[in-house]
Amino acid sequence: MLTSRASGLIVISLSILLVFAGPIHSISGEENETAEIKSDHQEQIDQESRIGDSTLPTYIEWIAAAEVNHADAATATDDIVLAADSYTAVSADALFQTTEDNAVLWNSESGWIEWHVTIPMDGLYDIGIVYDSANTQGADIIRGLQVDGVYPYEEAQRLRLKRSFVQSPYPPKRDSFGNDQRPQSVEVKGWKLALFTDYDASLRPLKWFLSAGEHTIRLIGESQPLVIKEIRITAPKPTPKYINSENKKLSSDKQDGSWIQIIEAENATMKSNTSIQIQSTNAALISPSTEGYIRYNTMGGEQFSESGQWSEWDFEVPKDGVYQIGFKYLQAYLNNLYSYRSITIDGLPLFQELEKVGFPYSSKWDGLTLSDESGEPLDIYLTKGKHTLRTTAAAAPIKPIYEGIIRSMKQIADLESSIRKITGNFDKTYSTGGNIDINRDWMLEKYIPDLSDRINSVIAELGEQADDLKIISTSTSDVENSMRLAAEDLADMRDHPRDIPNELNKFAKMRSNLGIWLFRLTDQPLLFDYIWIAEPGAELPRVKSNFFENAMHSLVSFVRTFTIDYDFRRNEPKAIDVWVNRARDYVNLLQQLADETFTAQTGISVNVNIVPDPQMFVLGNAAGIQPDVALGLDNLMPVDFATRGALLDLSQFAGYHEAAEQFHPGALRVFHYNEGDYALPEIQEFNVLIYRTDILEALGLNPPDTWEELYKMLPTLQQNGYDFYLNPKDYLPFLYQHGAELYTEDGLSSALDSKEAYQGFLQWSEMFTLYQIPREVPSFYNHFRLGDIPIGVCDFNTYLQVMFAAPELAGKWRMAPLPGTMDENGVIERWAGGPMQSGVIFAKTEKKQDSWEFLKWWTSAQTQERFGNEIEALYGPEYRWNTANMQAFSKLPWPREHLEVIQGQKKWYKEAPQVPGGYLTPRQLGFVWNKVVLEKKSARESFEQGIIDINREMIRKQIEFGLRDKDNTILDELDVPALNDPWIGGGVQ
Amino acid sequence: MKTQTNRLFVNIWDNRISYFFIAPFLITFLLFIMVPVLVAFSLSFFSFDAFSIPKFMGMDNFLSVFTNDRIFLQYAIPNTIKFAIIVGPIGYLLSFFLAWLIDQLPKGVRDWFTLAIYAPSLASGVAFIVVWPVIFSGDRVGYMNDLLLSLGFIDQPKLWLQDPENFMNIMIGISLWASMGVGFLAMLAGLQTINKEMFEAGAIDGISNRLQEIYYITIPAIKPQMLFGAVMAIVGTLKAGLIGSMLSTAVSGTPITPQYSGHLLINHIDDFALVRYELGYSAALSVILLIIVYGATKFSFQIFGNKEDE
Repeated sequence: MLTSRASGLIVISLSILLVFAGPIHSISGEENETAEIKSDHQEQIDQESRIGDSTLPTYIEWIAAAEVNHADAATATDDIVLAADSYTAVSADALFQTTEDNAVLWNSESGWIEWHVTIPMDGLYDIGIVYDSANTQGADIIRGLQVDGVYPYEEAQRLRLKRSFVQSPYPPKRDSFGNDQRPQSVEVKGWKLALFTDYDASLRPLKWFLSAGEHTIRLIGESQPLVIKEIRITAPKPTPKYINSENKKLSSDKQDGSWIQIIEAENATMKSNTSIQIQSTNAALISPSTEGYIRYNTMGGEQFSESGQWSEWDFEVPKDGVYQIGFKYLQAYLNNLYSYRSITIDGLPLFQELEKVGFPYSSKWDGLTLSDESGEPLDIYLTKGKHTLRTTAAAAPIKPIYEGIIRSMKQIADLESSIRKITGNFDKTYSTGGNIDINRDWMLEKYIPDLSDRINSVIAELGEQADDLKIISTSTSDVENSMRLAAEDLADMRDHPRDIPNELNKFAKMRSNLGIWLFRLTDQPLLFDYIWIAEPGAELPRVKSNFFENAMHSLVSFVRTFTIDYDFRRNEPKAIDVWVNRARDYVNLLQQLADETFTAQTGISVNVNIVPDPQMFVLGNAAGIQPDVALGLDNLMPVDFATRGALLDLSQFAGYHEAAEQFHPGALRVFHYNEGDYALPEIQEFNVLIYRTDILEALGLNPPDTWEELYKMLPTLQQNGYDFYLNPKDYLPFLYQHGAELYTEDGLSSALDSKEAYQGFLQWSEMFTLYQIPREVPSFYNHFRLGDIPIGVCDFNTYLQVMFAAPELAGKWRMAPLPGTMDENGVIERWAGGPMQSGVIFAKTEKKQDSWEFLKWWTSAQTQERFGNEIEALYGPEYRWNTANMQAFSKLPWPREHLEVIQGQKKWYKEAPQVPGGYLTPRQLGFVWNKVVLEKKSARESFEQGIIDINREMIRKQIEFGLRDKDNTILDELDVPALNDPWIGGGVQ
Repeated sequence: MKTQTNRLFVNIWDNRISYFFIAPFLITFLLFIMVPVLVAFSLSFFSFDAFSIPKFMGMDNFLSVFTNDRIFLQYAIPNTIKFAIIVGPIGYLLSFFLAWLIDQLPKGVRDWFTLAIYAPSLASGVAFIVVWPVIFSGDRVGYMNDLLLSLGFIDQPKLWLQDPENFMNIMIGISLWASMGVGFLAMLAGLQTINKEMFEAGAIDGISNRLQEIYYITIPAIKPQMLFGAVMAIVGTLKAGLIGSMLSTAVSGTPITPQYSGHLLINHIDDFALVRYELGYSAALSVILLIIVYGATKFSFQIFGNKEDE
């Protein structure tokens, strides 16, 4: 009895295991998150290696060879100073102007400028520049530098020059709820001297080899204009090593070990990028405490992570003597790795120990004292008075690993391709790596005699890198694990060479496991709370909170939820109520701007409040709660509300036409209904073509100007394993470019039954059937980064991501207008739509005129431009304000090349008009697309069925709104604004 | 008459302690269940677009539900029935079976299995958005596609969540995975209360295998919990609808499932209320749903209810 019961148990447990092994497995989060990226990688390792395979060496490779052959120039050599206006040649005179103080204004992002220089003796030199920015756009200035017409190494192609920003006002202002308002980043003009440095490649300024004699030095435009005063060529200055005893001697007798000063990190004197932001962090022992409000008390975080970004703090010491310096920091970002900072004091890296300071991983706030290798705090000699401490993010220590991984991935790819050449199998689909006949044995050792040597060398290299990484990590890091795993897999292959042809996709897997870490490996995020400077022996502040402090902190936070109204809802009785469907960052700035300018000028006060969910407008209305003005409504809502009489017709106000002229008619038509105009657009997205120049050049392709050209390039793309991206659900370009419309002029029936519409539809669906463009791409951005979809139509969000979240793509991609259709006059029509957000006035408002004044003020070019610039100054360029106001649009800090393309494309903007029942058009077109593309049903039949359904719904809705009576007799007609020509005004500055 | 109401109040006053105890539930029930149901019921006789004043329509809403609404008749009703029939009973049997299996396990591991099986029903909201769209992603890097491609079952990626053929099945699969909710817990708890002596007694009386044990002892012993589970399963499946629109939103940005393939009653209600702003009509649909739920619950009382209780 007992035994049978026990065996029964085992069977049952097993069956449970079997049933649930699957689901349980799939809940584990990590795996799912990484899934996308992981397999993404498998396809485009070839590109990865291609990128690393450019003909130029990296700086690390170059310097290794250069330092063997050449020594640094002697320090005694005088600096060679080239005045900027002594240039010998420029690409085009128009781009360069000499200013009064003998500087050269290079007011362009393109072109080049060249100087002649005579070098007294052979050696490695640093090259520096005295420069200033020529605008206030906030982005880094980038130039390439060629010596005698060639780039010596890859990094020389993109040298970054930083700007300087101060936070203003500081301390931050408080809003009416007691929260800090984020100060703006204001650029400080003035000459800056910088030696060209790439903190990704080296902690010290880049070195350049110059032999004795004549040379030319040429700067090549990449990004942002600048003013150049001087070019300097100097001998590299070595940084001394810290010697404990020598510095100890410097300590003054007057120091009694009691002086300490704490500098709050948020009080930074200067910073290099607007995206380095002060943060409000709520934690025990944080300094100063937030007291439950938004109080900026820390600085940095994930956005202070790119190599070369720096921030500076000024401090004063009371007397000459030695001091110790430490940080309170949070580095919970890089698992088991260090985040590196290069520290200078008064512009000098005093010791080698300060050039590379690693902040170890720690999930909680931690302290770090600047110390030497043995852990002894550094005694730093400072004279009485003011000093400046600068921390610069530097990925150089981790860069060799980064390059090593790329190298290994390339070797693995080479290995795979030479095996595939033998077995003649290039299919990557199946688990066997596409090997059809798995029973066939291959004598790989015979065909590739050095097979095991080659594998061994990869294993050895991976092992070395893993060991190197081990040294610079706090314990085993994820990156190290995947390197060791790959080495193990390879060792297994080496020992069983006969199995290799049947498991070729193991190679791809290995590379993807390695590649997954590449993207973020060089990020160096770090958050500071404060910095302390103290005489040796002073009592230091405690940085780690204990259990009771944490518990107390939580308790106090909990109590505050009762004492502080966290809704932060503004409710002035006489003001107009503005509800905004946007994040708090935007809403706060809007309130601030309105108070500063609108209320000041007109005397109308404004309550700006957040509406988290746009459905709230409907439900609030049903409950009788509604604002005067609502902002942030999508394309559909204004007309949906207007048809039900909930909105005011804006065209009845004086000044509507002047206000409306600032917008594209293709945008305004969306808000037009039955002779009324019910909204003004605030932001308006665009569709443009983006492409990877590196990949397209390698394939010998140019971006297509028309769809015909796309058809011609697709075979080349697809044969090389690449794809084109097109949003599968966006039918507007195809319909409009064929001259079709969605609705008839009276707005009462669908106009899709025209010949043009059917042709447009056919082209749209054939893209995904005949031309095999991918039918579902969850993230074009990721594929674009990886390179397997190197070209595609991107929306505004993807543009921002590619622009700001993919630093490794900088300079490797460009933008072109959307492919178009050539019409009979030879004009390429590029019609396309794009989502918008808009502002409306509710009909029940008692303050009609005030509300209109506000809406007019808000959508005006001046306000939009100011808002767009300030939101970027506050939160960084990722907050680019995509304004619909055509005039303000060109004033925002777009790179000039992009602005030209986007403005050219925006002329052809045309969105779908809204009519009663119109919501069924996208739905039915989506269904028809599904039927034709996925179920392979007849296009004509499905399309017509779709039109019937659309018309039926439209009639139903028309009856509801009294446009028809129940017997289908038309009572009233609508007017859908036509739009046949591109906007002429677009592109005008 | 007067004396009768008086007596009622006296009666209530005498039992005031009991009323005091049920007051919190009673008040919230009235406020958040009864009142909305009544409001919805009356709204179903009006035409209301959320902005203008409601217009009385009589039975027009109900009439057009059954005569005019092609999508309701062609998709919403058949889909809901199909979904409810498969997910309801199978999910219910599965939760009974799993509860029984887990009950056989030694105490130490039992809780872990319970947690593992119960957790999906808690996590389902997040999982709908995060996990499943990744698994059923339509490009070749989606889990399902990657697996099937590598096993050679398909030769190009399938668009799982756009293809109407698969959509319903995926919805059903996911719902089953997430269906081990309170009903399952109740049955598990019920199983653990069964007197072990009954099994010994049964063995003496000639029960020879596990199936007989289940049929003659286990099920009768936990009938109340089975009823609870059944009611929960029925209400749960008829109310379901979120999942389809969430999956569809994740893939194509619209809450409407491809070709209405996963269009359930709830989705239909949402479609009319939040896209077409026909709140009266959608209230009528909700009333129909309420009636169906009521009928199905009655039916399960018929099966599981104790005769003495009624």
